[in-house]
Amino acid sequence: MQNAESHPAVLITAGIDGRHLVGTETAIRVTQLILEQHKEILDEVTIYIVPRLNPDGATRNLISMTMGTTGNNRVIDQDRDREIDDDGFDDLNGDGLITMMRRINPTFDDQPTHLADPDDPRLSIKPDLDEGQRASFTLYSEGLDNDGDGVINEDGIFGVDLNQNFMHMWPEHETFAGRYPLSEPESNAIAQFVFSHENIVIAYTLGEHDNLLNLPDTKGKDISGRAPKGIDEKDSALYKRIGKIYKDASSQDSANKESVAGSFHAWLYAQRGIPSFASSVWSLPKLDSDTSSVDEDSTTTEASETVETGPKLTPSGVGDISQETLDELIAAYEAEYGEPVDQSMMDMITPEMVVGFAAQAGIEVQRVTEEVEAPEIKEKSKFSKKKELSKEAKWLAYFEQEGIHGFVPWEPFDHPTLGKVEVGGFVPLAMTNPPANKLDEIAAEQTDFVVQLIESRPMVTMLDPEIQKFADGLYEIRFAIVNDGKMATSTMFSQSSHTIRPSVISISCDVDYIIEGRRVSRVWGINADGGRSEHHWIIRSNDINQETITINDPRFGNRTLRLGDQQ
Amino acid sequence: MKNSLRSISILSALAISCFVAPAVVAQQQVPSKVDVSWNRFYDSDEITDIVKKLVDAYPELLSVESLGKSEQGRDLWVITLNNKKTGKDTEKPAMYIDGNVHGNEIQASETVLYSIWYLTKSYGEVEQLTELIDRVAFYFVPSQNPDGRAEWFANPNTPHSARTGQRPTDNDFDGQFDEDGPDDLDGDGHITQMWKFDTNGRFRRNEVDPRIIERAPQGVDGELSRIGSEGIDNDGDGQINEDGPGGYDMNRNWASDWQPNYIQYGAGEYPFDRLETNVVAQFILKHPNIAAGQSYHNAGGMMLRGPGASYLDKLYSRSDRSVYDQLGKAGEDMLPFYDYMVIHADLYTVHGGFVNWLAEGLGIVSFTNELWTDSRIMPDPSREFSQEERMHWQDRMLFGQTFTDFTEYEHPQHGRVLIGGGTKFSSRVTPPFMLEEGCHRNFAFTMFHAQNMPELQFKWAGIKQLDAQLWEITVEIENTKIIPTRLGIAATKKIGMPDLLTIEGVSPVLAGTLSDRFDRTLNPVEDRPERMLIENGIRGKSMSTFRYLVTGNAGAKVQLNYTAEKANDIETVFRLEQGEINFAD
Repeated sequence: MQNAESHPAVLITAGIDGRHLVGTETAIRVTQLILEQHKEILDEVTIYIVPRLNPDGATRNLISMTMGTTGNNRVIDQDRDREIDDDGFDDLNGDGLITMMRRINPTFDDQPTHLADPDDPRLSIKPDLDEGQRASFTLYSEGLDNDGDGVINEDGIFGVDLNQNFMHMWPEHETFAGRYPLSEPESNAIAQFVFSHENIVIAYTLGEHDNLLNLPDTKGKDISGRAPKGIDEKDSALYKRIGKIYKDASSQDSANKESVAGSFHAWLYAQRGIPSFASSVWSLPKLDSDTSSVDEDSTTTEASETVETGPKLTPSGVGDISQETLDELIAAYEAEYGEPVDQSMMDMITPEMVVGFAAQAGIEVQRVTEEVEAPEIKEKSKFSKKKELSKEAKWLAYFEQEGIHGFVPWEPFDHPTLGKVEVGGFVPLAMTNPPANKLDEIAAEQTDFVVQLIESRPMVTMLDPEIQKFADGLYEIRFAIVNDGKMATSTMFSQSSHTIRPSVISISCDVDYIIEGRRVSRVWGINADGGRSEHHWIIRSNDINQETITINDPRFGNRTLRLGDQQ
Repeated sequence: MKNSLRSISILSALAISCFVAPAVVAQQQVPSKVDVSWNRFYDSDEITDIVKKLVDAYPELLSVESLGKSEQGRDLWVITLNNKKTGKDTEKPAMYIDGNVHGNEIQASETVLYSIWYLTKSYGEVEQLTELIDRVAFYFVPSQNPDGRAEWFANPNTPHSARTGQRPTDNDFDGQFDEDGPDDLDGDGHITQMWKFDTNGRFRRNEVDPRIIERAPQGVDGELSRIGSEGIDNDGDGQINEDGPGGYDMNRNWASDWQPNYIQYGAGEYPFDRLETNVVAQFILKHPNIAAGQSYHNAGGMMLRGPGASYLDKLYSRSDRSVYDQLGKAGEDMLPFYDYMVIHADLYTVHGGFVNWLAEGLGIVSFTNELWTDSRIMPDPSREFSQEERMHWQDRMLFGQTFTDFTEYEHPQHGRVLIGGGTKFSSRVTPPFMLEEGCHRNFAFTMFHAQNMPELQFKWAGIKQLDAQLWEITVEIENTKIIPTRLGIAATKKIGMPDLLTIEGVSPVLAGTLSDRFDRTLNPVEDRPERMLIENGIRGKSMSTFRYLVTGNAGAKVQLNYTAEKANDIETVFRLEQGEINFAD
């Protein structure tokens, strides 16, 4: 019987953010549904599920009163006053929740920053000076100034944000990033798991990040200039493909853009060569009244008002090369070679390659220039002020629609140091986690996605070696490894940067007996959709049947093929 | 007349001398209780032996513990030098000094040991060093990489090999670990160079001294081409010496600007993933009183400071750079032919280096000294040594000890080859007879650095009565040393804890920092004037002025305490009375 490590594996992680409880619930349910409905997957694939990577943070958000903080239980003197844990939150209105306070008419040294939204006084907005609005209150989180330093709730339990504690773009001097990468037992533990399970070929992380609904940044580099901030351009085809599967499977509408500095899923991609996907699983759904669809129309009308120079070009997704240029290149290729262009070629093409081919074909490269956005934005905001609901207003409408207690109405309170305040605001976690009755349907959608994700995995088979005898003791051997999956065996980025170790193919005979070919070859990745790694040797051998080809790759299991067995 | 005048002058001279205290005779030759030769090198076991002897001989100043074990189970020793009678080491500014994180950079450990040896024997004998030892503490780690050091000494190596730790590593990605290291083919106990007989080669043996292999001049046929380090293809992959013991760089394994292997070769999988770096890091993290750092390496004659990459330049503010500049310039005086340099600008890019972590991650003023430069033995240090001069030098001064003459060898892959060249002692390593001076000069620079860890004192206080119960107290605190209590980077990036000034015995109403005692614009702190947090600390060779408005009764006993992580904590007590106090009196 084979063990878990002898199959390629998918790693599903949830709950690294202490308040993202929906991820954990989803991970558990997906596991159950796979066992009930898709068990046959396990014949070929191992699935590792880590449903709750931050148990202390989750416990804090489940059992005790919480502000909705996301870190672990590491004690940090975050206000750096040389005293620990001296000013946590306080439930002033006894509602069992920690929400916000509005300090009405604050003193001179505490400038008001917000006012109640005239359209919905529950919401706090920044004043629009053009409209003659003036700020009238300052916002605080619910609590007292326990340590008398003038700041409220600045030293409760915040802990280290585990999702800032990993090596890729580690934000060194951020308060919640930890003293050094993997300083926290939780992040260290999952990292050690990844190091010791090199058979992981795909990772899916459920948390407060997303790279499925929105394609991650393909251009930006980190501070060293060598590592991609989001993903490398060469991997954008992969992420588009999986993103489309996600959008079809899930009813999740949108996702926030968060910095990935120090995050787990970004580390997996940038430093471990693993195609790494992330979603927040649930976000504000579309409202029944659908007042939010207005903004889509208003933006398109604005766009057409921008001044254009020359013919309109369409972006192709390959750098800033226009689709028109690509179309011309494809036409030229097909005319020259009489066969259609392979999709895998198009997936791998880079702007530099386009420039090269275009030069050969005598085609002018037309690039899509970035439109000037500034005037557009001003137009849009004036428009949307009148028609578009703010995100927070949409949340309130959603809570009403579903009958969710997502907001605590403002009630006056006499604060010992701040004077007249109102206590109220959004219920912690209400904008992060759905009502419990939604969990099953979310899990069904996520299972559908996970199954399709797994089906996209690289699928490697080894073709039987072909042996041709030239003369007694002189042979030619051909061998290939084929990837029929829809994903390369590692990210395109790792294949060119050598971020992780390659597959090693070696032949048994001595280097002196090899006429052609290498005794040890390194294969950094095999492309999807029939991609091949081909090997060719001419060797001298006294007993060809005893020669072996060894494939060493933890992702697909190590194999030794004895040539005598192939006849 | 003359006689009486003379006798008067003699008498007065005698009289004067009676009122002068007997002169303290400064010791010129101070022996140590421990005999150590500083004209030779010591392997890892011998280092341990010397450490034990020193600690046994000076128990009132030295204590030793093992930070933990190396990859191969050797102890990493940390020796604390502290005079317990003047306080705990953790309550004093401390300097952290280590060496030999690269196993081949051996003289670093002798330099560290020399420092312990010299300090301990000087206590009570040399005033300047006695004062230093009473005021500060030292943490010495003689070898950060005892496995690499042991390997370098025990086995045939080059001046550059055994730099790594000894964890087996698959450097050539062939699935095997450390399977193809160098081989001592000619049995001379060293790994030297291999040259192939090659009619197309560009090199030839020098006509006058065939031990020298030089480029053939234009138009002259060569006979040799360079293969590389001595060895054979142990794993049959067609390459020679591509995967020797270990194969990583523990000076790229630290947390600040750590980059993975494909950007920074040898960096490991994550910061502190090596046993050795991890135990050192944990020790340093537990000692926020460390205010100065030195990590000895070889070679090149440099005093290096960060940043290791150009994009981190803005982390070094002008005031911080001034601190490094003052120390570096002083070092150039003490160390002939050594240059004070910035790592990324003057050397090369280093990601995840040790002194970079100390400085940028922890706010500790730190240098790496690259010990030994050839300039010290060149007849004309303004130009490169010629090969003939180098050969001449090692013939005459080292009696040929660092060169193995070429012998012919039948190499399985390359046929007839020449093997020979400089031994592992032929470069980077200080010539043994010059070792003690090198140790001493670097020790002197490091002690100057240590002496300049911040030292605080209350300088002056001015008390004014403004009303029946209302008083104004102004106080000056001085830092007499070059290093500030908090570096600029610590203040900007919120590293460590701010300094703290507390007042007791009166009720402070307002408190704030002034530019000087005549400044009338007080910007009071918002809250808790009785505990003022001072993020910027007190700058080097500088004074900070603080002002309080307090209520209290005349004659009340006022107590002020200033606490800094990297300086001695100071305290003063005085009466609430109109007037001025000069604390030095």
